[in-house]
Amino acid sequence: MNCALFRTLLCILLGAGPAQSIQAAEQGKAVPKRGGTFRVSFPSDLRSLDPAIAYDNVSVPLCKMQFRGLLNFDDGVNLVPDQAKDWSISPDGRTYTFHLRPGVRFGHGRPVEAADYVFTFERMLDAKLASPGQTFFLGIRGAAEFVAGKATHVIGLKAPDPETFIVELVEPQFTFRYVLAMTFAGVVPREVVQREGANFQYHLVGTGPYQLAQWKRGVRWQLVRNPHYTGADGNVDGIDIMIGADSTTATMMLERGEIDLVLASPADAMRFQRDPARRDWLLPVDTASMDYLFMNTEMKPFDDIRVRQAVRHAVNKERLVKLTGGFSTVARGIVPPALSWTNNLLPLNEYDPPKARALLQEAGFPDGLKTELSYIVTTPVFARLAEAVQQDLREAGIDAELKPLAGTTFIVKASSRRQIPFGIWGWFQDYPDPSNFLDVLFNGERITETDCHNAAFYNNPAVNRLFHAAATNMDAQVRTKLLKEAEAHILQDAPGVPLVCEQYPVLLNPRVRGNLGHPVWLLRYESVWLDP
Amino acid sequence: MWTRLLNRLFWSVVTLLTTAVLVFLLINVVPGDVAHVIAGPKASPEVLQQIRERYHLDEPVWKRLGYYLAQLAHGDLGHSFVTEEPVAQAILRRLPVTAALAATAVVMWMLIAMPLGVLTAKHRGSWFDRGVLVAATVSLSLPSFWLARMLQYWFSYKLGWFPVAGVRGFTSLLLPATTLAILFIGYYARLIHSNMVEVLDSPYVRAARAKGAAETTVLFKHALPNAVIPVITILGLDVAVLLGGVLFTENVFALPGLGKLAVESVFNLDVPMIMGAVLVSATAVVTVNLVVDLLYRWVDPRIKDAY
Amino acid sequence: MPLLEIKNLKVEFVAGQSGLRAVDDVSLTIEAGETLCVVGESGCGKSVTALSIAKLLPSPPARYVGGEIRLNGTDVLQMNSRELQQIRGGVVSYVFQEPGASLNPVIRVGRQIKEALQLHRPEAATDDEVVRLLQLVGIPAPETRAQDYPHQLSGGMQQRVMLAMALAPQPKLLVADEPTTALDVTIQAQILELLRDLKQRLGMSILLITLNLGLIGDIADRVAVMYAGQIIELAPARSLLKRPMHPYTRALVNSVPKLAGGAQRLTTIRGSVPRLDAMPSGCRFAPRCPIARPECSTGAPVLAEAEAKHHVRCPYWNEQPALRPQSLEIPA
Repeated sequence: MNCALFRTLLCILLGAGPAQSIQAAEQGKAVPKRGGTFRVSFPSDLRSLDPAIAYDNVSVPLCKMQFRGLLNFDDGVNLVPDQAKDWSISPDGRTYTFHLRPGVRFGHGRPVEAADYVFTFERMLDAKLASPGQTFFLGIRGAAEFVAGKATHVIGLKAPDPETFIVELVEPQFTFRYVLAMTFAGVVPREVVQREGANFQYHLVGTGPYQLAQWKRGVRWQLVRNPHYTGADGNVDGIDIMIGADSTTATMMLERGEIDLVLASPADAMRFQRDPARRDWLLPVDTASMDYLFMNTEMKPFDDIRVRQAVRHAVNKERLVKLTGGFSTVARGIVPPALSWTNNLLPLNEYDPPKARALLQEAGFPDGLKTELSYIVTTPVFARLAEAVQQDLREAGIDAELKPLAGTTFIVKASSRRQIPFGIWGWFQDYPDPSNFLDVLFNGERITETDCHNAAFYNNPAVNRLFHAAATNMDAQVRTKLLKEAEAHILQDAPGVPLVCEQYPVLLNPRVRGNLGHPVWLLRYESVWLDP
Repeated sequence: MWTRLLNRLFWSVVTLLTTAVLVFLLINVVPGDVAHVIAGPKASPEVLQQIRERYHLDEPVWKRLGYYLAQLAHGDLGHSFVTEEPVAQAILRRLPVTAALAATAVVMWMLIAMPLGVLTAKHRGSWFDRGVLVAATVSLSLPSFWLARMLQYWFSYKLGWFPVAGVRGFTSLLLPATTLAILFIGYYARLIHSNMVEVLDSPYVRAARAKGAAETTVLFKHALPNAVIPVITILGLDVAVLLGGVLFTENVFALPGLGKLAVESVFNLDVPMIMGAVLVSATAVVTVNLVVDLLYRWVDPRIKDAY
Repeated sequence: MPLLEIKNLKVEFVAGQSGLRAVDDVSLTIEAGETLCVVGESGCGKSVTALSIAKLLPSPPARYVGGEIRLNGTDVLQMNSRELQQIRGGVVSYVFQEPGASLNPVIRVGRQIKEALQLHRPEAATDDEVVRLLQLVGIPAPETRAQDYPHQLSGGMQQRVMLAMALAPQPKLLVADEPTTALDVTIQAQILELLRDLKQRLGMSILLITLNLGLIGDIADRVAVMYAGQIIELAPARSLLKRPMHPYTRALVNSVPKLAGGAQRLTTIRGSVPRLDAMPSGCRFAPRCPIARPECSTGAPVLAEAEAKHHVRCPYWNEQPALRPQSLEIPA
């Protein structure tokens, strides 16, 4: 973690003035310069930066620049208060009380009130809006009735005075605190949203350091500094986002100085890496994500644990990392390293083809077996992983025919019962809690006929009980123990084999400074400054 | 004359309708759940179900076709599944770029192909003629996407003469238009060449020379107008090919035009947008051919009276 | 000075390395106001000669290998392109065989005539002058006709338009290359009548090329008969018709069917015109000639004056049987 920036954040929290002078005085380091326009390029347009809608890796960091809420993450995965002065949870774990920090204003000047938070959270539950983040708020008391149209307000959301906001949950839910840091909980001004309706996405107003100046659909976004923002973030005057250039074109533009940041293709990234003069243009950003092999436990032959374990031993994870151009790390467990804990105790690579063959023989496949490996063809990493895994499997006697599918086709099939026996998928965290990986992907009680995230359709009652207990337990240490136990079970049962954790190869113009990478937000634009 | 026009209009509408129905059915045959596109891959089943209901995604294809055609009859192209923007608005926004790109390309290649065709016909068999023939054959064989990238690499990236991508005034159109022009120039230069060779042998060209007309007048005022007549028909047909070429050119050069919109919509399974893009393209092709047909009758006076 | 003087013209066509000589040492003159007819079978070189007058032959295949063509004293074969443009239309005008094909199909006829005016008589390049010219050649409703496209006119009208176009720049010499061959008989007569009329009114020289002997009597002052690239007889029209000398000319005259005198067998000339690459040595007609003798194939005969102004390329012309009395009608 960057100490200078930590101090900056501290100053924000204490309401102190600009922290640059303190930093400079204390450490003699480079002082962030204010000014300039940060230019970025994305291949396709964003769906929307409306905090109720933005939900992908590209949109969320941009949304975070405009919309802040009660809590946030520090430079790492720890929750800190943001626009809440302080907060507390009742002993029974059901009631959260927040006192809002005074002096926080929206981009159009009005100070934030608790009623705005009530409005924001109710908006997330609005059936007509159909926000993809709706599920995170369903645990609030009165939410179900509100969604069903049986109530006009959510009784669990209260604003007893303009500076106090209270949320009551139906059941204790440890992970609810993380929801409060997500962009879904970014506070919006109620009168503006009511006035603009569907056009709010063109006239976004929030409490973050930047606000939307212009959105030319399919062409360009322009964000400028929010004059009412009082934090120390927001060094650049504005952010200019160009839409439409693919990664090859964008990299060319970067090299010509036309843009400052590009999410490069692995080929381009490697080119920069090999060039000693330009190696420092490359910034591999760790993502809290995991790419894994799932095996449908309801379909033959993967209903047999020995077959699944054979697959686990057939795969050479270190080789996979090499094949993705080195821009990933081995996924030892299901929970990625950014969230720490058990990972370093797990073996790095369980590659053992003789053992795999022995297991297959035991399972009744002495001559190996034939199966199909499905994956999303338009994601290059998945395609590369699929080919590599296929080669590994062949050594163990498993003949996996590759089945490339288009993105949406794959998603539908993988999340439907008994469609795909064997596939490659990835999961990107919503918030940095292990349950976001374990519970979401391997909880048997969450299985549905369609739209199921548990693609292995894994259902182990013991594990399910552990998840249930962990969900409602408010003691962090107890939870950790429960979840670790669950992970151990899952790794043993092998409904899935975690493969790699991806890194995004980001290329930056050397004039870009500041701490850009972040384990939760991926890219934290608001901490960027430009030199010159 | 009016009956002919009405007749052509009628068949144009039939063509467009057939295209719409065929494409709609084709898109809906592709497996893939649009609800996931709209809501994102991590959405919950409840949200997905809401979306399915709203867009009738669970109903049979022919019923959805019915809804769509009914909508179309009211002049409504629907709303994008991905952005919820009205399709007509999105297309209208993108159309100028594509139209400008296509028009520039056509003007470029015709302005170069015509003199080349005329001069190589006049100096048939010379080194110039043979050189142009070789160049034309090469240009016809170049893979389009490769050419686009190559031009971008050498002229924008290495030399910096043009912006690499995006729209920044008219110069942004020049390199993409050049890509398209190069693909067609060879063909048109040879087409005009062979037509000119035929025309230059004709008695009226000899008669024009016998009148004492200067050679340039003979070539460009007497011969070329005759040689170019069949080219106009080909041009009409080539509009469809051109629109295809526009697709990848816009992608490589990141131009916010119809082609790019179409490609993105297909990847996103954004059905209303795909339909809108297809219909607009089909309309463009049909209209251009209609215009060419009418133009043809105006340009070649013999045709007018033959019908 | 004669208006046109062709002296020893030799024209070849390039075929690979060698050249095929289409016109071999042709000389003729045309005085101002005179009408000369050139007669011969297809391939005898008459069109090549005619086109050479304004150097209209396409120069890669055609090659002028000898002789001069003096138009008003200046050698056309030495002119540069600007000078050629001036004489084409300005001094010598052409009317071609297929009038429909010789008019530009996409330009209105009035404009095509106007172009001829603009090139050589710009001060007269007006719609009125176009109308006047159309009237001159006998086209009814000339104002409307001027707006027509060539395909809207009949063959005869098209030829009249061509004439108007040829006359517009007021040339001294009109070269008409088989102007009526492609038209039907009644129209032929009309066009011929028109030519005669114009000749009288305008005092133009005319070089008329034709296959049709019948026309000669109507319009020609003098006639040149060509065979295999050479002139084999050159005489005033009356003289030629009354007393054709060269065996070929006689055969031609004989082959014209006669209207009066009962049904007869059509006479033809046996054999065929020699190919350019297989030209006989000596007299070129010898292989087909009824009075040929061995010497004819060894020595090439020259064009010699046999009687007053009547030249023939045959030393033995007088040794032919006497002609039948009424060979061709000669108008009074």
